[in-house]
Amino acid sequence: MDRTADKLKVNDTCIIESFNDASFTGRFLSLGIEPGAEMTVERIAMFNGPRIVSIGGLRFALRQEELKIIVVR
Amino acid sequence: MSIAKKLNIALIGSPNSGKTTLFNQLTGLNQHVGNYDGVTIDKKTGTMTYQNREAKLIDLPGTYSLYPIAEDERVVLNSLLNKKGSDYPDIILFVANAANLKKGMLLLSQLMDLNIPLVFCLNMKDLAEKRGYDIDIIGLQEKLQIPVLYTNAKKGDGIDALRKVIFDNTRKIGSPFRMSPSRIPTWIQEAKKVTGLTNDYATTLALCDYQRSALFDNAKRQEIESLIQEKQFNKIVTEVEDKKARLSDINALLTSVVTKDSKSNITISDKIDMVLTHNVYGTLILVIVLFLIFQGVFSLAKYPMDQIDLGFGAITAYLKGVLPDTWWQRLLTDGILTGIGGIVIFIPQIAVLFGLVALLEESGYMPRAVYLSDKLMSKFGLNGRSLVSFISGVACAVPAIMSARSISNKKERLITIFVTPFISCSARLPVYVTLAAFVVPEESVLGIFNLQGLVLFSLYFLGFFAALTTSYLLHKYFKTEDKSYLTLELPAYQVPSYKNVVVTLIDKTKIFVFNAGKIILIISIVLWFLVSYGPGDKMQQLEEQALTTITTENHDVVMRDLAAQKLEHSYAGRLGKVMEPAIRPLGFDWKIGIALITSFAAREVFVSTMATIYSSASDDVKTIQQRMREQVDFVTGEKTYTRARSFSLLIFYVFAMQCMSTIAIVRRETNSWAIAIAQLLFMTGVAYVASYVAFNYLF
Repeated sequence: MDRTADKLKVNDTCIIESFNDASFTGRFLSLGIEPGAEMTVERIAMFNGPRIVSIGGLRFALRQEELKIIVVR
Repeated sequence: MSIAKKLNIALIGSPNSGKTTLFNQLTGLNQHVGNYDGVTIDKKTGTMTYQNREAKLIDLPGTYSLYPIAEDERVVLNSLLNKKGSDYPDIILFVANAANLKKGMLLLSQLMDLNIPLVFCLNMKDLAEKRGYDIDIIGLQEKLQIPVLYTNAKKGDGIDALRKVIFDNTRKIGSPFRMSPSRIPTWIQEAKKVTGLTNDYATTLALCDYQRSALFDNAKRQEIESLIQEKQFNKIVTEVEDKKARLSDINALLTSVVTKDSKSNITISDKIDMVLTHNVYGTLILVIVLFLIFQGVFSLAKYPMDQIDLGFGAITAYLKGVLPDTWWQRLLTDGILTGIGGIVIFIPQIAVLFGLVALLEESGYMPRAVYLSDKLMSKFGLNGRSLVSFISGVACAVPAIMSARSISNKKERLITIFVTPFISCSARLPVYVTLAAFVVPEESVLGIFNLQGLVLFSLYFLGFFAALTTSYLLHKYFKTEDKSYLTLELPAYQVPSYKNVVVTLIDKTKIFVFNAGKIILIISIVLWFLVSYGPGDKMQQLEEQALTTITTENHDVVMRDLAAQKLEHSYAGRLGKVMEPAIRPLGFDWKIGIALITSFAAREVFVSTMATIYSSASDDVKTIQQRMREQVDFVTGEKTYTRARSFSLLIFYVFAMQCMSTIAIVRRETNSWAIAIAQLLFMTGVAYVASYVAFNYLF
């Protein structure tokens, strides 16, 4: 079963493999969040809120629902 | 020497690229804020000059790509596709953050394929150097075949050279970035005939967004729909494959022109974020920041608002003294000037709020605030940015509703606008203070807490509760196709540009004064008419009667009584009496009915109306309270302002949308009278039911 980014913990680093929701893929690609990029989880907000992740020198806040779309290895 | 034709220059870039700072540098204060047709998105234009030449610089909304997700991104695409539009550019000035070059390259690659002359401005050079980036600008220029320049817009470095290059390159179209035949539909010629566009890539983009594009009418959309279905065109696949292919080329390009030293990446921004995004410290700091915004809007704006109030009062008194006592004098002083005063008095609060919010945006803190509050707000169908609207609403709903523009998801934005007026604003405070005395006595609880103060706090809490409950219900029952997303970039912190802050608050103030202001002025004049005139000649009879009894000793008392009687027999008074059967279940009589009508102009007018109705010697709250305590029901002999009636009136003001300025700004921000009226009816309904329960069951 594919591992998705919402399962990651703080300081976990992984490589983005693909996206499993085509309607979000375009948005991610526009921001430079692309397959092959390295992603590190830096912070998790309270009550399982958004995560701060760093990807390719940029930092983003992503919700759980968005991280579930990102397949990682 | 003749002046050449004025050029159109489109300033385009992704968010956090320094585009606004660059725009302000290139235009100075020679700017104008308008509106794009059909959407509540500010359109900023300015004039840029170079030698004898002028150009119109259009600051298009920040976007990450030409596949739009939100309305502001769609505005960018429409401007670039509509050759007949007034905003179609002669040249594009593209700006990117040199410290995050890759982020802007996707958009640049798309712009290059539109066959429009292009100049590439690499901004924030200092930030790139701090982060250890070295960009081979000559190599980049050779590979892209377009002019590439460094700038530091904040300091003004490179701006003069940029002007020269822009005006020297208005006819030079560079090579396209990527016109891969495999990604352009094979039937593109047919599509070009249907859409009326001439560029292959522009046509492809139009096919992906035709349903929401302002370029096409319904008939054309149906034609495009038929073509797409016939050719089985999949816009999502097209977009994804296009972006993937471009990013692959961009990665190869950047590898050849960008080097980064291998030193540690930890920047000052990273260190600050360790505190500001910390779950405990970050949340505490956020609460403090929001409290400071709230305090700032109240306290910083108070003095100028008081001065504006005094100023208009002085002008009105002066004009009443020098002009003859005619209907047009009263229209001017009590109608128009009052209306203008009612608009101008909001300026300090709007300026302070937007100045503070702009400071937070400019510094880079706002996305962190959104990150911290998003989880809580999203439970209620709101966005992290909604918190700014709620906190601002404690001061005033008008700027609070305007601040909701930063929420890109339409549903979240509309819900925020819809519920913000439930937050008890500063205008409600005089009403609460006046009536609280009739609800609870002035005593303390546990020897520390003032009971009336606790009642006031609970009223604020009630409003907040109503806002969240309504949000939750709207979120549950109104579904939308638009997905809600956060996907928020956290830019590096930077020292705010004070020029940008000042320009922003001037822009926002202008939008309020010239848009919502028109509606407020019209309603003010209508209300003036309703309280100044009545049917028949009863008002005149009252004046004549008063003149027969007036003496030097009783002048003030007679004039106060005359004012109360005229108000009773005015159209507003008649309306109050007509409404009385409807408001009697709430414990209200026609006098309160008049106050409800007049305080629609502004809630705090309730106090002065009560002063007039009860012939109070002054607007002082204690004096008015005393007069209200003396009122008795002539039929029953009981006190008029019982606890039940006072509480009912308090509850009504907690929930009711008693503010024409708010209605005006909601109409402006939603572009819809239907939403503004629905909101008015909904809040009035909630207020009615709550007051009924309070009057009939709680006491």
